Amino acid sequence: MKEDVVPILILVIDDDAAIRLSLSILLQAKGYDVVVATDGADGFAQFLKHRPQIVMSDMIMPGHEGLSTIRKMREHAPDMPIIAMSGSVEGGPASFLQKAQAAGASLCLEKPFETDELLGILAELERA
Amino acid sequence: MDRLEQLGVGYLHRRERRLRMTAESCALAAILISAAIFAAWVLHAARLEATFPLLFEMKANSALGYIAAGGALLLIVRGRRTAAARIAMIPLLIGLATLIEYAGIRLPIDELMLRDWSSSAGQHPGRAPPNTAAVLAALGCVFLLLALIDRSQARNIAVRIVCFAIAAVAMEALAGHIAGSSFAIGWGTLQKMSIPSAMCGLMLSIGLLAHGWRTETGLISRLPIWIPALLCFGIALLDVYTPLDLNVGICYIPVVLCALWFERGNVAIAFAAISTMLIILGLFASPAGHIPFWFAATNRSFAIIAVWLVALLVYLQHVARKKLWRSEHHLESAQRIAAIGSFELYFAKMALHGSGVFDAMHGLEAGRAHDWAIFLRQSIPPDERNNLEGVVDAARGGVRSRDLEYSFLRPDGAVRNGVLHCDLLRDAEGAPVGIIGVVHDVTEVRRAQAEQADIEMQLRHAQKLEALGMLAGGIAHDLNNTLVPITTLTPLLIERATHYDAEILQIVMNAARRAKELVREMLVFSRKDQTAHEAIRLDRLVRDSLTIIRAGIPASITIVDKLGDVPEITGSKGQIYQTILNLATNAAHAIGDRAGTITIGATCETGRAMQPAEIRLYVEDDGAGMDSETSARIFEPFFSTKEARQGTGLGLSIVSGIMKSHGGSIAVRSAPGRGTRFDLLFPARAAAVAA
Repeated sequence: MKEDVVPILILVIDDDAAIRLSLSILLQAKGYDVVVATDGADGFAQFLKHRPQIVMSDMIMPGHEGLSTIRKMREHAPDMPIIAMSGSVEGGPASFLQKAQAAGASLCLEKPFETDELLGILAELERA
Repeated sequence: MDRLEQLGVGYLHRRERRLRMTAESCALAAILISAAIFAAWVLHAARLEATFPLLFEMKANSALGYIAAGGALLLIVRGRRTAAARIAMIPLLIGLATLIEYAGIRLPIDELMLRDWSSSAGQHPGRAPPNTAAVLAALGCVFLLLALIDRSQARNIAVRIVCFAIAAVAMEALAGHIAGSSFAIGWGTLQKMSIPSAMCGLMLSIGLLAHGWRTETGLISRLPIWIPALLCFGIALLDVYTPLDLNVGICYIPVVLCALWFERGNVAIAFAAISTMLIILGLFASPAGHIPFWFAATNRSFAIIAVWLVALLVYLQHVARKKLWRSEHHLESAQRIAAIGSFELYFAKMALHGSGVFDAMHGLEAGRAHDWAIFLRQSIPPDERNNLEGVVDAARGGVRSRDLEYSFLRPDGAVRNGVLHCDLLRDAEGAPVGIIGVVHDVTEVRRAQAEQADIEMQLRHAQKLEALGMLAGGIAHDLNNTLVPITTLTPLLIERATHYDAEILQIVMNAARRAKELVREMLVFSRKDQTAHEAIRLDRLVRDSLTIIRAGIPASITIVDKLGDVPEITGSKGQIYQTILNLATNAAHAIGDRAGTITIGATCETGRAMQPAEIRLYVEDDGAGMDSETSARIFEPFFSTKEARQGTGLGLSIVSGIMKSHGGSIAVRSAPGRGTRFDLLFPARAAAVAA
C-alpha cells in the first residue's frame, strides 16, 4: 500500500480473540486500517460507527449470528464487499458458501485460510 | 464316492444291458426252436420225422404257444405292453383248453392247428402234454401280469415265483429225459413233455427272470445269472438219476448259497423255493430204491428244512451286510462332509491304512496300505516331515503327541493344511504297536480365517477413522479457528525473518497446512451420507471453487481453466467440491515444488441424436505420474503413496464413492514422468437432456 493513499478500513468481526488479533496484525502490516468487533451486535454497531470499506465477518458467533449481521449490513451498504468466514463444517463448504451468499456475502473464506489467500481476495476486491 | 459310483451306476448300466440281451436272446431262441418245429408239422415232412423224431414230440399247438410266448417276451422287453397282452392270450388259451381237455371235457383244441400224423402219436394224438399245457398257461398269466399291472413289489414277486415254477418243471423234464425217468417227463400215463418243449419253457422262464431283474433289482454280484441256473440244473439231473432213497435233496444247498452274490436277501428265499420244488419233484422222478417211500419222503423233508435253514442264514447275513454297508456308508459320508480322514499306522511294517477320505485327501491310491516312508516323501513337504516323524517317534516311546497342524501336497501340486489328532494303538501287554488318528482338512477354514482377519482389520481401521471423523466433526470449528492465527501470521513472520528463521517458520506453516488437510479429510468421512442432490452447473461450481483451490496450492503451479459451458447434472455441491479439491491437491502433490500446470476442464459428451449424454470433468497435471501398478490401486481405501503420516489414503476412495453415488464414473490415465489425468463422467440431468 502506498503511503499517500488513505488506507482501506476493514471491519473484522469474530468472537475468537486470537483471530481478531492476528487478522489485525496481518492487515495492519499490509497497510490496511482495522477495526474489530467481538460479536454480531458489536459488529453492526462498529459498522454504523466506522462505515468500513470491507467487512470480514465470522458466520457462527454467540449472541448475534453472523448471517443476520451480514444481512443487516447488506441492507445499509448494498455495494460493500462482505467476506464471510467460517470454520464450521455443517453441511460442507459448498453449503456454507451458499448460505453466506444468500445472506449477501460477496465472498466466502473457509477457515483456516492463509495469508496469500486472504490478500489475494482483498486485492481483487480493491481492483473491483 | 468314485469307487461307489464305479461299483454302482456304471456297473449296473453294463449289467442292465447284459440282462436285457439275455432276455431277448432267450425269447428269440424259443421262437426259433418252436418255429422250426411248427414248420416241420406244416410241411408234413416224413423224412424229417425219420431223421429227427424228437422234433415231433412237441405238438403243433405247443409250438404255436411258444412262438406267441416268445413274441410276448420280446414285446415286454421293448415296453410294448398292450401288444404283449394280446399275444399272451394265445399260450394262455392253448394251455387252459388243453388242461380242460385232460379233465375230460371235449374241446376241439387237439386238432386246432393240424392233425397229428406223427408215428409216435400216443394216447391223445395232437394234444400237448399236461405239464407243457401248464407251462403255457403259466407263461400266458405272467405276460398278462406284466402287461396289465403296473410295476409293484407284489407283482414282481408273483411273476418271479411263477417263473421259478416253470423253470423247475422244465428243468425236471430235461433231467428226466437225460436220466430216462418217465415221471419227470410227464405225469402218470399222460403225454410226455418233449425236450424242445422243456427247453423253450426253460428259456422263456430264464428270459422273464432276467427281465424282472433288469427292472427291479440292481445286482452287486459279478456272478452271471446262468451260473446258479446251471448249478440248479446239474443238481436236478443228479437228483433224478439217483435212487429216491438217497438224500440228494441236500445238494440244493449250493444253489441257495449262490444267493450270497446277489444284492438282495430275498434272492436266497427265491432259490430256496425253486430248490424245494425240485426236491419234491425229484422224489417222484428218481428211480425207486429199496427202502420204503415214507423214509425217502422224510429224508427229503429234512433236506427241505436244511435248504430253508441255509436260506434263512444267507438272508440274515444279507441283512447284516446291508447294515454294515449302511454304517460304512454313513462313516464315509460323515468323513467326506466334515473333511476328516482317519488312518492307522502300524510300526511293525510301517504300513499306513487310510480311510477312503484320508486317501482321497492326500491323493493316495484308495483301498490299499501305503508305505509310511513313501507317503512322507510324496505327500509331505520336506520341512514338515520332521514334525510327523516326531509324532511317530513319540508314539514308539509310548507318548501320545499333541494335535499337530501340517501341510500336505496333493498330486496336482496344491498345498493343503491338515490338523492331526492321534492316539496310540497298543497290544495286549500295553506296548505301543501303532498310531490311530484322524486328519482334519482345515485348508478352507484357514483361508476363511485369514479372510475374516483381513476384513476385521479393515473394519477396525474404518471404525477408527469414522470415530476420528465424528470427533473431528465436533471439534472442527474450534480447530479451524485455532489454526487461523498460525496460517495468517506465520507467512507474515516469514517475510520478516532471517533466512534461517524463515526455514523454521516454513516448517510451522507446513504443519498447519497438514493439520488443516487432516481436519478436512476426516470431516468428509464423518458426513459421508448427509448430502442432498440438486441441479448443478459443473462449470460454475468449479469456477467458484477455483479461488479456494488456488489458495491451497503452491504459487509455482498454474491452474488452467478450460471449463466450457456444460448442461446441468444432478448432484451434491459439497461432494463435487470435495472431489475437485481432492484431485487438485493430489495433482499439486504430484507436481511438487517445481513449476507445473494443473488443467481443469469440463466438456459435454453428446450421445445419440446429439443429445448431451455425459458431462466430462477432468483434472490434468504434468507432474510425476504413476506406473500402472499404482494407478490400479489408487481407489482402494487406505492406499496412499504419501508418507505414512502424510495421508489417510482415503481421498481417492472417497472420490470414487462420490462418483458412484452420482451414477457416474472415474477414470485415470497416467504414466511415470508424463503426468496424470482424472476424468470424471457425470450423467446429464434428465431435464437438461430434454431441454
